[in-house]
Amino acid sequence: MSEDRILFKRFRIAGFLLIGGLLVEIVSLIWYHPVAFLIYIGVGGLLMGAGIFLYLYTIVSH
Amino acid sequence: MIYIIVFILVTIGIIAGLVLRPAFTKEKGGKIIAFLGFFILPFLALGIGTMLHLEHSKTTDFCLSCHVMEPYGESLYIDDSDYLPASHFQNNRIPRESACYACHATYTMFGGVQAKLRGLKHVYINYLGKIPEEIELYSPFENRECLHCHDGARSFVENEMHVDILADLRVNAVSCIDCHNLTHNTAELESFNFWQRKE
Repeated sequence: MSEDRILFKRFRIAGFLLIGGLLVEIVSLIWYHPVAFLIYIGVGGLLMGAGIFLYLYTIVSH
Repeated sequence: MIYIIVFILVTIGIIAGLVLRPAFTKEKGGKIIAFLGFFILPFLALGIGTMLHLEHSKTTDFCLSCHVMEPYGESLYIDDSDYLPASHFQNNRIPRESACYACHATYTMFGGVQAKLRGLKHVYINYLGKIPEEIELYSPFENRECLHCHDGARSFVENEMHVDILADLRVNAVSCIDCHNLTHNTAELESFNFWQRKE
């Protein structure tokens, strides 16, 4: 697999993680319930954190 | 609220574009957009979302959304001005939309942080832990929380009941609750009349 394909694959994964996290954020902001806060932090925050980390790791390692 | 949702949707749109056309990130402009879409914008969305959730956690509705807190919410409508939380709530002495937080968050440097950490613990206990039979404060109610608003007010410092004990009140040697001891009294709620709020 070429360097570019690895790069693009990682960007795609980071993108999907971020989109997932952002969708969770939208749901949690509309729902506005104590459980929504936990889901936002536990699921949304985790997905976004992982997406951002994967993107940053990818650009510094290539 | 609508602005943050639009902001998030725009961010999703940018990320979706980059996911569909990752080759765009090889170009100079694409690198900048990728940095915005994959890092700056999600980071901002995360921060703003956290801030909004933390602000919402101060609201009375948030506290009362746990079933166990409902009687405390009802006690704010007791139709008797001797009842401290009810009279504060009904007469706008505290903001109604953040009534619980106004009195139960400590007015110290990290009082807000401490209240939010306790709130997280309460959410955990409510859904996954064991709710205690009787709900009690973590520590006796400090005068500091009352004096934050009342100290210096003419009606407080010139009140004949307060004048002689003012110094003791300020150092918490005498508790406000010793005299103003009618608080939430949730066990006796059935015996009260309730204020019918007119909008």
